[in-house]
Amino acid sequence: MATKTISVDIKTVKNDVYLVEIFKGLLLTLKHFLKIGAKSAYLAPTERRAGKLSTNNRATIQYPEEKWVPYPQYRGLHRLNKDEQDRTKCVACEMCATACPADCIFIEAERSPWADEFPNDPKREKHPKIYEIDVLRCIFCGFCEEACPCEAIELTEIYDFAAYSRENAVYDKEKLERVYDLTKDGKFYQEGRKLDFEF
Amino acid sequence: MPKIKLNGRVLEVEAGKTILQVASENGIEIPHYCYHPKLSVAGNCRMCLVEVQGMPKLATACSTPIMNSPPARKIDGEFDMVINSKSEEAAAAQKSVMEFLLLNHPTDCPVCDKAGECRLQDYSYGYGRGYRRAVEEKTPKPKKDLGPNIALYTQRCILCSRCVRFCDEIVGSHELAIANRGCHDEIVTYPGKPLENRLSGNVADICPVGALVTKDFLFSARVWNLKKTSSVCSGCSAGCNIQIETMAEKIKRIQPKNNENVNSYWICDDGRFGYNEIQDAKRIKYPRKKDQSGNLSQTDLKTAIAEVVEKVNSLKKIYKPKAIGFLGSAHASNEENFLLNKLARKIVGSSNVGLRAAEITNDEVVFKSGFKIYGDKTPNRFGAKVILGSENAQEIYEKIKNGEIKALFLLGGIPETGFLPHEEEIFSKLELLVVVDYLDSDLTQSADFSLGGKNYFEKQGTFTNVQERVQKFNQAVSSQGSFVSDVEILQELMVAFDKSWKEIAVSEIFNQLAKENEFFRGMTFYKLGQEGMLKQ
Amino acid sequence: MDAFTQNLIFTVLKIAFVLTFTLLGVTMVILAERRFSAFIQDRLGPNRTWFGGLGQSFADGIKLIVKEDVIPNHVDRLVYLLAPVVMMTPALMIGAVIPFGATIPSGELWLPLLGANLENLVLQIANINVGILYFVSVTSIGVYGIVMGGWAQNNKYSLLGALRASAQMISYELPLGLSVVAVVLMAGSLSLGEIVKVQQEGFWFILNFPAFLVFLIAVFAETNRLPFDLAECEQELVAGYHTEYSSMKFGMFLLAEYANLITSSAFIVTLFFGGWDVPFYDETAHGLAGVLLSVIVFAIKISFFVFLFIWVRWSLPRFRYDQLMHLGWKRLLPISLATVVGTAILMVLFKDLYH
Repeated sequence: MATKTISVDIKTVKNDVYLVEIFKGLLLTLKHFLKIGAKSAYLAPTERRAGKLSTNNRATIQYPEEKWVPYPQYRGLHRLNKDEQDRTKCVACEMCATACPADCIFIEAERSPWADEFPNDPKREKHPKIYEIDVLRCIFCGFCEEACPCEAIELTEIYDFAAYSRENAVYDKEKLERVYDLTKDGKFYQEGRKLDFEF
Repeated sequence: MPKIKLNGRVLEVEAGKTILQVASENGIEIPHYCYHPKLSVAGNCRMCLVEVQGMPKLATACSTPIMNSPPARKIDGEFDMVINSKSEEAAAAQKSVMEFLLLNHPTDCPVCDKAGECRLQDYSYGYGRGYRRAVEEKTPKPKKDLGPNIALYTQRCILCSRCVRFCDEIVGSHELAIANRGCHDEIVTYPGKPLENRLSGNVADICPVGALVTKDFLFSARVWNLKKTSSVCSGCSAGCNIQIETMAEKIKRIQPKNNENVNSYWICDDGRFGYNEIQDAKRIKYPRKKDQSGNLSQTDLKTAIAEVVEKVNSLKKIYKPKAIGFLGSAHASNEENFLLNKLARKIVGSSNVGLRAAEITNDEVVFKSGFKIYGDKTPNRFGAKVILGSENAQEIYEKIKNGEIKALFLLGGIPETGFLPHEEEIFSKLELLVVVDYLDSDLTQSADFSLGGKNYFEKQGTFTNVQERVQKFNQAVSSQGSFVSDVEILQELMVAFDKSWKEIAVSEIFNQLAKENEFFRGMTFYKLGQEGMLKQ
Repeated sequence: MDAFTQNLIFTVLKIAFVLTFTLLGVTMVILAERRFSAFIQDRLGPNRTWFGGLGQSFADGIKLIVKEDVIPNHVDRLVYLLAPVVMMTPALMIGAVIPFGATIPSGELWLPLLGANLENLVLQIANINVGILYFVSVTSIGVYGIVMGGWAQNNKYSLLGALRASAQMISYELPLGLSVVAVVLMAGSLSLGEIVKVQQEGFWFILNFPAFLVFLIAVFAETNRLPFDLAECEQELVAGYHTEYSSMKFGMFLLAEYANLITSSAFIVTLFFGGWDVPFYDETAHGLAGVLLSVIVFAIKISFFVFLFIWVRWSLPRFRYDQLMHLGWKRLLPISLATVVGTAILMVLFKDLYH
């Protein structure tokens, strides 16, 4: 590859005095300070996604009162999907656990209670007895979602799920299915819902 | 010897061997399902089709023998046969066969227990098309129960007939057959005759797909998560080579490991499923001591051993070293018996050493192929006999009855058994009974000191089987009971009696045993390897 | 009541006023810095504590005070403990010589307890006749705090920060002093009270713009503010001279930094913007109200410069060290020398105009 040499004369009087540039910069920041022309920079998407416009047209979102609504492809807390009869879709194949780079998924399988309802679909014969995700270990890469052959595990838009203890940060099957109930219409934050577990 | 060219490699091989045998001996992979080295050739899966120059059609590698050709017809003037398994034609055949096999296969790999070690998966990846062209519905074939241990996912079956041939040729029980025609073909048992021979677990192993599964392992783990430890079965004196597969310190299944000198590719169901009882047995976690009123109390190994030594020394003073008896065990490893023998004869100075073992049962079965389940359910009777220099425990029992022996050291290890018949009565005459056994049984509860120990999944050592072959077994899981192994307990005892003894590792103990004992001469722990050793 | 007691009481009151003003000012300036920087970056800044965030600095102060005070094992203990004090004291001492309001005529003081014979009350703690020298000398003590802190921590980042700070201080002390000389030439006095008075009677010394510019830039450097905060530049030195300070010791460095900011602003105002002078208004005309107005105007003037400090900090990138030295020695020093000479010539030429 050829190298292109560009010569820039930085030793001009204008550059040397520097004060002109300083004043230009000061004017720019003053414009932002006084909220002149700052609106278009990044408020439009926030305005679009948040239920309410942020205070004073600033980019800041006043968190507990107003919550940012993530984009649809956001990778937040996991959920375990259920079928139309509230049976877990997961077949405990451990593809997610195998794909997981953080090794945060633990699964123990057993014969499912609804195995007899699917004589010709061996997949539904198995289901997880234990399904645990340690969200403290999780890096939210979404590999589990990608590996899942049954569209059973998905990452949701939920981002505020800090816990007070390590035990509470381990999400078991019940919790993950509850997350599904809360997020299945994809309007967790629009509807102002909250996770109702012990944290 | 015919000179052949196989996938471009020039080989000189014995005439009469099949192409598949030659290929596998030379590290060339020819995909196959129905062929098994220990079963007759069926040639029905058609996966091993290869191109042989001069033959009008593709030939099955499993059934085509290597042959000499007359000098005039040699290919290129020198080769008797030129075989190619990777030619365009062969590859197309492999692709087509894969497609046929997968026509009705449910591809439920996520829940299939074979996934990860499945030939269908491997070959689909290596030789298959990668997508399905058929739009027709698959013929549903529901899951079936074949017997107490085996279930059949009929739809997964590719009808290679390995299991049928296994029952015909190895077991000789002829329990399985293929019934119906065309796509309705399936493996069946005769009505009212389930698959319940004592080698039935093997059909799940030889099944190249996930059709035959053991109910024991069903849904319990994914195979790629299993940690594999090669070991030797302790179920009987045959000493079958096994592979213990564990996950999270729990044994999930036991599979046979090929050793042509011992068990070939097979193990019996007793050995395959017997781990559950040993794993779930009630265990001694800490050394225990019985006081004069008969109460059991927990103690630690150091104190217990110090008290044992004190008691033995006082008894030695009153009577004579002869009053201390020692019972080795046919269920304990060579090393443990060696240490006990050394403790008895060298350190304590007593020649009252016996061999304690469960009775030989008459449960001896020989199958059609010659595979044998032995009536002697001890894994190490021969080794213990050679090391201890004693055939049985009768002499010791007599001496206890006579009052000649006042204290007894006893190695346990008999699974699920505490006292053997009459022992409870005999041992009640003892002044001191010290037991090294992992079980929490009536024996360890009545012992004055019960020092704990590990079961054989949790420790390392060697067994000498009925063929007098010395084989290694290895630790597969960490201990669920005592934290010190029998070897360590015995060495602690020896150190307590004689400060000059230095504690050494199991391999070192075996090497020392090999030095001192005529039978084991020339062996080393390392040299035992995967196959074990006979007397040099 | 004799004159001495009266002076004593008033001096104590004045000290209390100046200290309260400075310390309360510091909390406000810290809050202002955080909120203004947020506004400049289109954020909101701390707005939760008390009335729209007013309590944020107090909350932070409480947090710093109750926080565990970690003294690392490897430090030079005495120097380590002394450094924040050495840093803090001069910052508060400077306030002593700044006149912060018009003189209160004796007749206007409504303080019956004090009796008759009141003198005029000068709103300046110590009207010493070498006020400017006092300022220059006391501000340069502050750098000892930095050097001591950096040295005591036995840590290469802190030491480098301290070295940078001292070299920077030496380099910018010269233009600072010389630009002050220009002011002194114009005022004809070293007393700050006198300087303000001269400006009040004549014109503000901002007219001597080169001197003002040099002084302003030098003050930025003296207070270790961006774009000259090489002593604590995060990218290179972790946190510079206060890397291993925690809890209130760190808080004192912070306090001193902002106290310096306020006093420096006060000095800029005093030297170049007429101090407490309210333009086109006679502060003595309305008695106490006029005086009060002068104090408020003085505070407003200071606030503007504090804002300027903050504004510049969040607008300009940091200088490289060689650029800093280049600016100090090759630009500001000649300019300030020229300013002194030029001012002197102009003073001679237009002598009558002034005195």
